[in-house]
Amino acid sequence: MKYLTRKEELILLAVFRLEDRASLVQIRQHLTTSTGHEWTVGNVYVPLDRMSKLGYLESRIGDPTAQRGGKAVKFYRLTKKGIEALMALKKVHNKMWAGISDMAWRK
Amino acid sequence: MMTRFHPPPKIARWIVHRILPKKESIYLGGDFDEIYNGIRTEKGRAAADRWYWFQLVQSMPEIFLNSIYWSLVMFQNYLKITFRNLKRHKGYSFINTAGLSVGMACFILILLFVMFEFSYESHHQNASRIYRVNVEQHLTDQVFRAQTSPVPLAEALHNEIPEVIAFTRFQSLRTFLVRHEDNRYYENEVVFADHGALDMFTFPILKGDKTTALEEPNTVVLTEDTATKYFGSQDPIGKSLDVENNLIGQMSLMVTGVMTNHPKNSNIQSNLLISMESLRDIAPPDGYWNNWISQQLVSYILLPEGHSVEEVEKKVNDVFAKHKREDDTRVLKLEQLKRMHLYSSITDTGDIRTIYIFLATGLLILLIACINFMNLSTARSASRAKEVGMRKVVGARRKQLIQQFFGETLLFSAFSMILALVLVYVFLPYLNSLTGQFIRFSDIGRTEILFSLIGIVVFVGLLSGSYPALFLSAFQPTSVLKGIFRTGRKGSVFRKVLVISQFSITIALIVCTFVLGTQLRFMRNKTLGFKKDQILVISNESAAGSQNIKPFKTALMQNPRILGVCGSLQLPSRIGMYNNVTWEGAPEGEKIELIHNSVDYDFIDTYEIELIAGRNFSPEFPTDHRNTRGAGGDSQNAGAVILNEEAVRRFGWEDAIGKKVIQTYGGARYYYTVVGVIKDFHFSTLKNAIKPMNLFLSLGSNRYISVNMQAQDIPATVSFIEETWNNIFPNLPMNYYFLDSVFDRQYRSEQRLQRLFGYFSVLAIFIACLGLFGLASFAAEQRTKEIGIRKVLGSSVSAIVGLLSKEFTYLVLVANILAWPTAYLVSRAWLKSFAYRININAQFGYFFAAAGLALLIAWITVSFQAIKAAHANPVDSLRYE
Repeated sequence: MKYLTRKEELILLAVFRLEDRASLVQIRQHLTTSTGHEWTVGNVYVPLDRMSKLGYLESRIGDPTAQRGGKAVKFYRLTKKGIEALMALKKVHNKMWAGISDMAWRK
Repeated sequence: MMTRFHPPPKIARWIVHRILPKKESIYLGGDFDEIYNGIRTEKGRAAADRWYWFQLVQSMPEIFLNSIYWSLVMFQNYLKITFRNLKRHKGYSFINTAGLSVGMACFILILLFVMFEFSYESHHQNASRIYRVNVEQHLTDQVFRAQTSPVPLAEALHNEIPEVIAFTRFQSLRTFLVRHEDNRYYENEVVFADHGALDMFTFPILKGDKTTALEEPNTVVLTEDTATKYFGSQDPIGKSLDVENNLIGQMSLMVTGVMTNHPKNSNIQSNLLISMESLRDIAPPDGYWNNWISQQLVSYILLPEGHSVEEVEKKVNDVFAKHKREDDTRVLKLEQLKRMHLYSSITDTGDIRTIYIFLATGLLILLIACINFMNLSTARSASRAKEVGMRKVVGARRKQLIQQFFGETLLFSAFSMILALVLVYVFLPYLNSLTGQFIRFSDIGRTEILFSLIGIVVFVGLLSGSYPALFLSAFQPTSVLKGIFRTGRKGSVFRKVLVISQFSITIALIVCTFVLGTQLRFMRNKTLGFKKDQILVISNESAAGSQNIKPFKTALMQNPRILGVCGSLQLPSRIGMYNNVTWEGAPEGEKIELIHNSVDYDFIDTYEIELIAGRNFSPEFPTDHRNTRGAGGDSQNAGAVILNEEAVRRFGWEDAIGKKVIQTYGGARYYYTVVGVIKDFHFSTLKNAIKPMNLFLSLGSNRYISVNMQAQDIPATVSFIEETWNNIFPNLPMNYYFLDSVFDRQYRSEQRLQRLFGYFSVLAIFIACLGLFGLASFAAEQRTKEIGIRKVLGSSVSAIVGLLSKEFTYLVLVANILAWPTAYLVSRAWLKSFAYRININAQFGYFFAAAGLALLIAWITVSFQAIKAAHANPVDSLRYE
């Protein structure tokens, strides 16, 4: 199985954390504050779209708000497949990081 | 927190919404708006606007590429299906691509030919500003047009009309014998030109000075090849070159320039440009330089950018009116250099009508090929129906299906184009040798041709894809997948119409080819009224050779195999010089154009022309000689003439002998006495009716020496003639050919047309048959079960073949109903351009022959499939489910 890229991982985690508020704007906001650098709309949208098509994410259409100029909003949610993909990645992470508590002392 | 919504900058928002994928534009657009408003409340309007504009660069490319990527994924699937279909139905794929690529190759070749014809003179930078001054004269019953004009005209136009910026005259004086040391050749392409020629026309100069090269008398500019011919690798500048002919005698020239060879798509092919000044002392002032009556040379004038031709033409005629005699009815017409090749009615170069005929033929052949494609696709729709149904069930929209089918045909079309280009590469040399053009394959790289090729691909793809795309995409998935789908009656009617139109075009092409061929044969075999076979013509341009040919004639007549020898100014096959004459008893002011030739005593006998009244010219009557050097004014006795029947008829004389023909020239009147009448003979191509003509007697006008020989052992006779020539004129090469070869040349463009038509109809038949073959095999496949049952019930092979061929027979027969009237009208219109032509109403055999031929070929094609189907074992065919 192909693992998620780092960007995809971050986005999926953001979607998971934001629960039912996971719109593109919120995801972007969350990523920007967590990582500390600016994410463009394209940076967020393209992986979202790709992972929707691959079946990691599903979406529902929310109500339009005045803030959005009367346009409907799309909320994303992890599918079972998406959760599995995240878990598989976490397993690898854990294995690779096992026993490494701090790297700084080696310097 | 409820804040008011602020719309982002209008233009940027509009662009964003354009680029966003349609399905996502609401949500994504909303996301952009939301973020914009967020930034606006936080950092103010300027920052928000800036952010929004930056998204155009930051996000948009990424989003756009993403949407393209995903549409490509679908496209990949279409491609896969297309190639699977290609592979599964190898036969159909072959028929489709073969038909299309042959059709396209045909069209491209025709396109190249047409482009070449249109490119004539386009290398001259001033091609749209240079005009030839033509002369038109309206005589009693005809308009006479000439490209030649009086000598002083062009200079006067330049001096008196400000719009005429420059002028050039081209004086050609027939063939010259050109010599440098031991290199001697006859040169046909020699002109005397004004020094402005090098500026006005684009003759790139390789060596020498463009501005002064043709200023001095006795200077000459050569083309590169000619320079090499005479001077080899030496530098020709400053070297001398001797030219000689019977009009100007001998002249020694100095080479002052070398220009590039003329491109093939030009009708100006002069290899030697001699300065006009060289004629200054040779040509008489009154007879030449100030002669407003004779039209001796071709004049070109240069007009400024953005001129009005009509206005200048009016001024040109005003100037001409000032100089010409009052009773002179000639008018001048300006003809643009770049239009001359195709549109000129004066010179026998290209012809715009031929171009249209070819273009139409090319389009028809392309159409036949497209029809094949449509036919086979509709026929196969049954097998594609399931795929369409499946795609629809899975969620494909009709629009996507239409796109898929158009995409498929476009792919086919592009692939066929590649094959077509290979075919063009292979067949281009044949086209060149057929048309005498010089098209290189690399010409295809020119932008306008590249664009037309892309245009053809798109046109063919869309046209041939239109029916399958619109028809197949409309299938109802429920009925298709339930298996109750049948190729509708609508589809089969449509197919029939297509087959009928294909065969109509083919049959019409075949008929036209037949008619063309018959007319050509008719012209070549028609008795012309003079002998044209076994006549050897010596083209005799040198001064020494033409003055006195008596010793040569006497020597030749010693040989019993030589039946006659004569000298003449022009050959009987092509007499084109004319005088305006009136005649004894003519109504007041009536003038006609009388074509003339100057001949010696033996002309009529050598060419075996029949004398029907009076006598031939004879040495016993010294007054027979043409003598126009009367005492200044009129001459009552200018010599004898022999008329043809047509002239006598035109003059309305009962008995012509002894009557007078009156030529008016520059106000003086010359009276000629008619001594004989000859039977009409065809002295120009059979396109023209026989016109009134006369012969003058002149012993010094021996431009051509004609030798009538017996048919036996011609090589020996020819070498005898050459030996005799070399004995009598030791320094002159003998330049000869056979008269019948001139005839073949006259009908070259018709011959070309016939051969091309022949090839095209063969190709049309080939493509149509490919289609028919595909359809027949489809029909046989569809009826496999039926055929099986029929065989089980005792039907014979021939009955089944008949069953399968019957339908196509009807179609071909119906096609005739359309083809015959079309072919009839087209060939009748074409035949009208010939004064002497076959009677098309008597040629109905050809119509039946074409129909029979088409039917036969169709039968062979269909029965090939039918026999295969009929021979199949019914056990296999009935078991196939």
